[in-house]
Amino acid sequence: MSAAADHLASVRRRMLHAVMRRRAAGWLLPLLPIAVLAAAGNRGVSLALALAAIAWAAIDFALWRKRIEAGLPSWLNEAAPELEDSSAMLVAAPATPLGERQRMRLLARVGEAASDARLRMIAQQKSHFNAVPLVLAVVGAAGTWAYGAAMNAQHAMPPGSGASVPVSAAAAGVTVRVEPPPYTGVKPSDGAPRDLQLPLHSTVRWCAVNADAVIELGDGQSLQAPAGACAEWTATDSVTWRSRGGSGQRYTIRVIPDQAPQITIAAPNEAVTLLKQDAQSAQISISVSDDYAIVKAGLHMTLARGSGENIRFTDRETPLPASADPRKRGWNKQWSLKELGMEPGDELYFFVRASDNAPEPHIAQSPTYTLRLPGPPGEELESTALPSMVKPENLRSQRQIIIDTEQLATDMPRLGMAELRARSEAIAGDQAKLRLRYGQFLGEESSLFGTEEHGDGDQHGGPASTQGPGGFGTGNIAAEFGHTHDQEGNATIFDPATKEVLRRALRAMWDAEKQLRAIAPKAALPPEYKALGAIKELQQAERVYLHRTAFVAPAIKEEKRMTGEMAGAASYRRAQGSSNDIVPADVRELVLALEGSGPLPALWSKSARDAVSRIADEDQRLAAQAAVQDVADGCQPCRAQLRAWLRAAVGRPAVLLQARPEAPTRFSQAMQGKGAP
Amino acid sequence: MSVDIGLVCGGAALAGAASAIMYARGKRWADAALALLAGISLAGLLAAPVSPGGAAPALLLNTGSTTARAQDFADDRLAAGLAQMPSTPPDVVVRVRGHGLREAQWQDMPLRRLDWQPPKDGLLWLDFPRSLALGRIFALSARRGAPQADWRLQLLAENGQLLSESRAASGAPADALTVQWQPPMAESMVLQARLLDKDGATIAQGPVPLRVQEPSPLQVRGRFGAPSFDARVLNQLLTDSNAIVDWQTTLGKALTRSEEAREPLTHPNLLVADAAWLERGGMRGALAQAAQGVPLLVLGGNAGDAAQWQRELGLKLAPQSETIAKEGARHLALAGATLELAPGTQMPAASGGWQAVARDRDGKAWLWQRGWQKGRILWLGVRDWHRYAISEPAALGQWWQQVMDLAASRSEQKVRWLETDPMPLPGLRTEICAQGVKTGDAMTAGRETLRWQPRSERADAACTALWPREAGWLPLRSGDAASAMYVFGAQDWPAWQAALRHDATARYASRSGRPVARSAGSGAPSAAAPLPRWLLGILFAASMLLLWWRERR
Repeated sequence: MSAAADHLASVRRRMLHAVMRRRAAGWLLPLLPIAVLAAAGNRGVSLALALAAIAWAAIDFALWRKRIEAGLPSWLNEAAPELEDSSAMLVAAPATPLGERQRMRLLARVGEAASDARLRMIAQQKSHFNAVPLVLAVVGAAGTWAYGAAMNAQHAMPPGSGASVPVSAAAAGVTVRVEPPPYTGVKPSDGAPRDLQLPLHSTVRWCAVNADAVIELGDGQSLQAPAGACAEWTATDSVTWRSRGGSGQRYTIRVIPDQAPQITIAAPNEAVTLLKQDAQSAQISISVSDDYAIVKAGLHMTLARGSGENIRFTDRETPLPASADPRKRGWNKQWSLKELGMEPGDELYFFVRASDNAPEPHIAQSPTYTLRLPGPPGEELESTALPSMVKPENLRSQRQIIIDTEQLATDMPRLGMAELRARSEAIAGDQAKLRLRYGQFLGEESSLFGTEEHGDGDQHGGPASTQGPGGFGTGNIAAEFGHTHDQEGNATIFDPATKEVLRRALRAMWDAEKQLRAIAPKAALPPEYKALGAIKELQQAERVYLHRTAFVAPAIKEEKRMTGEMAGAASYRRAQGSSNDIVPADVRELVLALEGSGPLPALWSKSARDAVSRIADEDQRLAAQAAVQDVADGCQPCRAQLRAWLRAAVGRPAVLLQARPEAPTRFSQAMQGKGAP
Repeated sequence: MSVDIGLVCGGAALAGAASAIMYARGKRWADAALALLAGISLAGLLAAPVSPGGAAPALLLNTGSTTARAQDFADDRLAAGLAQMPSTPPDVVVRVRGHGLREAQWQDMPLRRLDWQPPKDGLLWLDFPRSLALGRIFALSARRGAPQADWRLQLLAENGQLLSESRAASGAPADALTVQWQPPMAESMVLQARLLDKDGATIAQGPVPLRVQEPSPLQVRGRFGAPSFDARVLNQLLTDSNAIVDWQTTLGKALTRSEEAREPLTHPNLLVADAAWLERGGMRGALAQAAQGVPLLVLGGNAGDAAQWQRELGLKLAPQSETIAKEGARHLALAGATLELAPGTQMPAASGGWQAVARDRDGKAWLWQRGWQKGRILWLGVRDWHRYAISEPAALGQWWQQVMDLAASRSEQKVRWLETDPMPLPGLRTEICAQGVKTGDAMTAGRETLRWQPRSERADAACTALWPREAGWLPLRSGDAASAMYVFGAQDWPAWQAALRHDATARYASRSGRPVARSAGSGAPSAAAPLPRWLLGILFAASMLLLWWRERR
């Protein structure tokens, strides 16, 4: 009995081994894609998949053990005819002597019948290769890898930007690592060279893998990366780059500047909202958004109460509640007037100010909105209670004006007409302010352009302008007709010599301002220097201060008035003005050199890069930088392209007045001697 | 000759008809029909046009192969035809298929009668200056064979950047479009022009060579009796244009503000003076200068003494009242802006020697002129242009350029190269002409040395012919004067080449004494002859034989 049991156990064990050998491939193969995935860097998911594969193998093993336990006799009967369909007798002892005898016979044969070869054959028949786990493992690993790759690509870009285009061809031995500034929250990315979109001030590292690499940027910089080390660059402007000696392929780095927060005030929708007499609440709906995060956003409210001279202001600042998304803040609230502290007759001015999380925060401020709650009827507001801003006098000195003008004269060829005009007029405005300030000492009061100072007060307007509310002459007549020249600050008395110097300074300032208004900064410089000289002289002159007692105007010489007598005015003779050239000389020289195939002027690439950096369109600027690189590489056909880019970088050309050319011919000479009138 | 043939035809038809009537009288209807048929077919046979090849010997020039495969074969045939043509007898008719030959090729051929059906499609004419002075505006015009809607003309830089675009409106078909662009630097360049259809597909694209040259500076004298912003703006414009300016504003007897010219005025192009300065005693000197040939431009804005102008220059001035002055503003449309310029206080009436030489968009004159001995006097009747100095500088500059073109005398240039050949091609004879060169003098084109020759059709210039070898810029030099000619590639602008050949063939056809061949309209009847001649002959013979057989029966 025990011998039979031993026999059977041995057969079972061998059967199990045979099945295990048969199944081993099916159990181990799913681990292969999982191992590949682990090698690709997805350790966590690989581990989970591997555990699943092992669990499946264990379950499969247990199931087969059970099946062998139950099915082995019948399998042996099928496979070995010499067992005469009696294998079951090996398991359970038969009750009859005949059965016992048969069992003995079987035991004698079973060693031979259940040979290893036969058991392998049985295992082969019973167990087939199961491909499902392998397929599942492959699909799982591939899916995980694809998902990871997609996520990586997204992390390399700031939120909101379009998909970057990975370029498959890798530059020889260079990897690119991008680290956006931490405040943006964009994850660093790593990989083969490709076109990138980065937040401003991201750090880009080119790491040379095998050999030394030289990274050439489109703006002319050249970065050295020794083998195994990295070259670092901070992205401040969009640029193209390539690896010298590599495939020569250029990659683009586009810089996305950090935007200031956007403030939208949806309600109230008008700058001045007149609330109803019986209004109890006011709707204020604000939303602020930024591309990365908003750090501070507040609602600034100023309540003005009272009328006439007696106005009180109360300031209050309320932060906007933060939301789950750090990039957005919104506040849509129905404020009760009590909360706002408004009473009939009050005005509430509010604006929103928000700043983002950039190292130098961008601060955005909305326009000021006004909520006006009308007072009880009859109690009319005499004047608007807008806070009157008393600005401190913020004048630029004559020296600063000269520096500005010189800078403008230098920049002139590079500036667009609109910008040139704006800058010239801004300097003219500064000059006008300074002139008016000095003019006060001579009792001057107005100017053609300097209306921002006190031009309004000097228009002694017609009857309409003196009318107050209601159409009656209740306006401030004193202000309309009066002059406030008798200010202590202005009432200085100078000796005639000083006055003369002062007059000279003012005249020079006038001239300078005139030239600046006519957008001729070069011509403005001589009078500006003259004014500066006069001011220096003035500073050294003594000054006497006296309280003014009364104004005594100098007597007008009636006999001279309106006669057109110009005694005292002087003739002058000056050199002809020079023309303004819109094309810098170095660019002109370079363009002429690019026409041929000869050598280019020294330092040409610097002047070319300077010139193309003024192209406004980013794509065009990058293409122009690439053209500079190509020409530097010795590409002859690229010279025409670079010339076109240089031409595009030059501002809008002006019309040059000229006569039609004519060569002397017999006909033209005969035409010269045509008839008399 | 044609009368004789008509008579014979008529006779044949008459004989046929008479025979038919005789048979009909005998009620032999079938014979009558046969006789009639024979008569008609004989008349038709005689009247059918004699094909040129049939009567006179013909030479075929196939210049219009449509397929590329046929091109090589056709080229050989064409070359053979061209080689044969100079030795053909004078009565040979040259039958041309396609657009014909270039002007240079036709000129080498003897005059022969031409049989040519001009194809109408695929023609494109381009018009643009090959050289331009810096500061002027470059204009390229493209004209197509037939007006079409929704097409565009683009001017592109070498780097493919769009410089200018013009499009035909979808509602209004146009056959010509013009693009304008102002080059910013003096250089030689090869731009590209492109014609696009409404779907943005390219119809034609090719090179547009352009040489931009530094202009020779104007030399202007300015004399003013009163300071004004207008004079100041004009001074600024001239100064910015690098002109040599001698400027004087007289404020009083002993009070003059002047600007010294940076170099002496050797050949003044213009004397600008305001009316006030002339009225106060400047007239005599100015007229003396005008008599010597320096044009005098009078800024008439501040004219006061009408009698003096009438007396001295025969100019009738009529004072403008305030309201008329407002209505009388001149509107000048330039560079996308409209300049509204106020008329002067006194405006001239065209009479005597004075005539208006420029008018605004409403047809109102703003510039008048009269001759004065060797020179001219011009009167500018508008003022207050200084208001546009800052807001519309481009339009103001262009307007003053117009004034200068009308008023200033030409600036002298030693040699002026002329653009004679619209499209020089490698291997094709082209001609270079220049003014200011002496016949017999040497000139170089590339490495070749040639001599200037007189030409009967260009009496004021000298020309020379050459065969360019390759496409690209061909440097030219004659003495100190240098220029360059762009030689187009053989594959450039096929439609323009076709149009040039078309024009040249039309000119040759008109020279050969025959109207420009058979146009589609006049060619139609002969082409639509009811039956070919051989069929008419068979018909005639058959009907006669049948008639004879019936008679014999």
